[in-house]
Amino acid sequence: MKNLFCRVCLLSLLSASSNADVALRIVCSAADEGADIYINDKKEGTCSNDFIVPAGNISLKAHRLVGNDKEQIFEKNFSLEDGDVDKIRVTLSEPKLTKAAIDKKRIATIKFEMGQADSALKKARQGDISAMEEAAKYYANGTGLDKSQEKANYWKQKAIDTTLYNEAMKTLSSAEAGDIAAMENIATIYQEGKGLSKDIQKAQYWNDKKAVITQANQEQHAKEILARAEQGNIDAMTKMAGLYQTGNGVPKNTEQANEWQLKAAQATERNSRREASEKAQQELEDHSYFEISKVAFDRLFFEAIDDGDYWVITFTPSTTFYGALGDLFCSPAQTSQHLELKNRIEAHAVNWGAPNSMVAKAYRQQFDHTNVIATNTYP
Amino acid sequence: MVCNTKTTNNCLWFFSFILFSLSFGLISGCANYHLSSQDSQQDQIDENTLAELTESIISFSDTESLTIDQAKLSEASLKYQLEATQLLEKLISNHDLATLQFDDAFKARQKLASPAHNEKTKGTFANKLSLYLSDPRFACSNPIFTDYFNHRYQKETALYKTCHEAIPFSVITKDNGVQTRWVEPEKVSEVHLLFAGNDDGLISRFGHTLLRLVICPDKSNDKGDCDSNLYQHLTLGFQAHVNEFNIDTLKGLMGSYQAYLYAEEFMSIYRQYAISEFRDLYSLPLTLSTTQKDQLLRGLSQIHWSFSGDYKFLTQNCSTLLQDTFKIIWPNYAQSKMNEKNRLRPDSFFEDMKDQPLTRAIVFDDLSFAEQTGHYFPSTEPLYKQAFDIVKAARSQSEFEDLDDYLKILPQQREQEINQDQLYYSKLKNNTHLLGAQILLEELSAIQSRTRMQANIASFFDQHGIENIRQYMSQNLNKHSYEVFTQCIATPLESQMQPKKLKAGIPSLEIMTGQKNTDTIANCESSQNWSAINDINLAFDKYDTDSWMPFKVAMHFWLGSLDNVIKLMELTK
Repeated sequence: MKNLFCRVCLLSLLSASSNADVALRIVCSAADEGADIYINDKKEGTCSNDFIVPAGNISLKAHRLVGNDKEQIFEKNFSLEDGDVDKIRVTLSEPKLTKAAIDKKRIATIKFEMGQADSALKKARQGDISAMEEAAKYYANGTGLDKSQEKANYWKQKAIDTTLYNEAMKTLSSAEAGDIAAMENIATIYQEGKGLSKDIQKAQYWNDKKAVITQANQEQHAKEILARAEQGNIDAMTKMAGLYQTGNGVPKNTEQANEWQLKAAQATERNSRREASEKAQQELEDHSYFEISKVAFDRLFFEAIDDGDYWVITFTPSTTFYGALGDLFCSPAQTSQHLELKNRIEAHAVNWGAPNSMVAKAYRQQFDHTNVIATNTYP
Repeated sequence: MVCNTKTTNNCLWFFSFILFSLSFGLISGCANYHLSSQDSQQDQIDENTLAELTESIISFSDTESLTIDQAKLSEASLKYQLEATQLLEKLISNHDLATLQFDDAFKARQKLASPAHNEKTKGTFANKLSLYLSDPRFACSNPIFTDYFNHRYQKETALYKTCHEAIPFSVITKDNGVQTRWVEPEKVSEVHLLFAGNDDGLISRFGHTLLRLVICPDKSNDKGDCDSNLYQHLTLGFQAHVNEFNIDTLKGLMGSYQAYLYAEEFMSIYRQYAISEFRDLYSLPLTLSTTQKDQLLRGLSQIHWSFSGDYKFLTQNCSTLLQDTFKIIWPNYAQSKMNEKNRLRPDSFFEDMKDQPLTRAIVFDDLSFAEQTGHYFPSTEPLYKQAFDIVKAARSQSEFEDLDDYLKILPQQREQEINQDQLYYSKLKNNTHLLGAQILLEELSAIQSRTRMQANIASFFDQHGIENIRQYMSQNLNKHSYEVFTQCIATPLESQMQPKKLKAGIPSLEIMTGQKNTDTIANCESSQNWSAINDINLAFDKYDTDSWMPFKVAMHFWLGSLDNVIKLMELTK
């Protein structure tokens, strides 16, 4: 009913006009009431209201300022024919910056960027590498500075060169302080001319210096390892073998390498045997036999066999057989050194006390005997 | 059965038939008893034919030189389908001619050089003579009988020229079980009579005698090189094969142990006497020409492979058997005063030999020099005592009074005491003689410990017996460990108890090449068996802890003493 009434009103209005006009009712929501209404770019009034406008293409705009720099807008284009009546509901947009505000902001931004670029440029000229990179970007993008790919490239390269230079100087400093890796690096830098001017002589100088110091370090390292190896450290012995094999810190010597390898193996074996022996020792000590008196111990282990005739059994050709059985039982615990000693010890006594005897002579011929016992002369 | 007239005749025939059959059976049985193992074809050669054949085939000259008509022998051999040797043996054994009978000299040789020494001598004589006459290889395998027959029948076979140049001996080695060593007579520079001095023990109180072969190295025949090649010298000695774990003196006196001529390495003998038993060894060179030496060596080899006899400690021992040997393979000895009687005691035998031109006893005029020339090997006991005195004097403090005391200290404890005695330790590092002395004591501990290990093993098996132990092991070991036990311990032990396998003479190279040395113990020590050996050790321990403990202690001493030697030797570096 209300709509019908409005229509009647509009029609009445229209009939009162003398030109070919159309009637528009612009309606705003309560929140948007009071917005300025522009029809065909001419302010015609505020929302909500009725308007008579010439027929034809109509551009409708509702506008309201929000604060100093924002506005809400509604726009619509339509066409009406002569005598038409229409109703438009206006919903204003969310507040957004006005053009002036945008422009203002843009100008401010440009000014800011120009300031930044200017600052970067100043710093770049003073050698600041990140500023150089910034300046390169500004030139490349035309941000704060006139776009110039050439200048962008310049500052980019300058940043790289300065970085290299600084690194090279740092490396040089380290090299001068004795850092071997730095010496190698600085030599490469001089060799390739990256960061510092290419200088073959200086490159050679640092290579030589590195070699000398490396050699000295290796020798020192080898000495330390040798000291530990001589004290019985198995790991050090193995390392000594490796050093002699490769010639690092010591003259390359395969024989020495083999000797240390052998020592390491023997020491390892000895350690494991020592552990087994200690375990056996512990087992024996845990046994009640060792709580008995010395007399009883001697009786059990030394004299019991003497009382029997088992000694005699061992002095027939069965001796060798029982000896072999004994060796068999011992074999898991016997090292190669044990086995070698077993063959030698029978003649050690004469070699020590009667070195001119035929047994001693035969013994020396049989074994390449160089230990202390051979050096004694018969008194 | 009642027999009538008609039936009486039938009965008579019947009973005669029965009687004849029985007689024939009996005769056949006796004949079979007397015959050697020959084809039944021989039964067809009657006595007359045998006699005829003997006369036609075997002939003697005035000097009793024996010849064989080979053609007739071959013919007869074919005719009667017998090997020539078999036929000859038959002819000889069935002949009564004195010249074809054995004599005392042959008996003496049969005793020492034939595995069939317990068989009837007549049969052995026939067998050996037939081989001598027909087998071209007989001289190489049976030099003793060859020499005898050569001498008896004035023949000279091409002595040993076609034989292999080297003579085999089955040598008991220290580390590699029993190995065949081929000895070239040319490489044997001398043969010595070795005497191990007296000991307090019942069995060894009169010493021990054996022979030593001074063998030259492969690349030299220089006397000095030969003399100093001790590690390759061999010994040959008559010893008892004690086929049990504990020697029974009564058995030894009564001859219940078998005697064999054993070959061993000289250094084993040195170790046994001069080191383990602390006895002096004297090595007396025999005076031999090259031919005599060759004859001696071949004879010894034959005895080594063929002889077994009763070993009686007092009356048939190392000394008497050696004298019997000399009589048959060393003509000079047989012709000497030594042949008049056998000395029952080794020491007496040795002393008497020194007085004979058969030997060069002058080497003992200066014992100090003799030690240098390899004729005198004194007991090492004074050296160990000397070492002990030096060590005791150098120690800051010592709780041991004498060497025996010292050797009873646990090896680890001995090492600790050395390490804790800073002053002594420092002396060891700076005085090589002192260090050598200390090392010697540890080595003596090791040597004696090893001997104890051997004795303890024998004792353990004696207490329990192989069978009981084997049964226990079969129930308590896993499969692999039991296999190792069987292969490496039980079977070799049982084999050790068996009599030595004899041969009818020196085996040829072809025969020996085909045989493998089957000693398995040395091979058993490989690392793949260690786990099994540990299992066996533990099983022995569980079986009888108290009885096995002495072995473990001895082993502990052995290994610990060697470890001490190794550590002390590092002080030289």
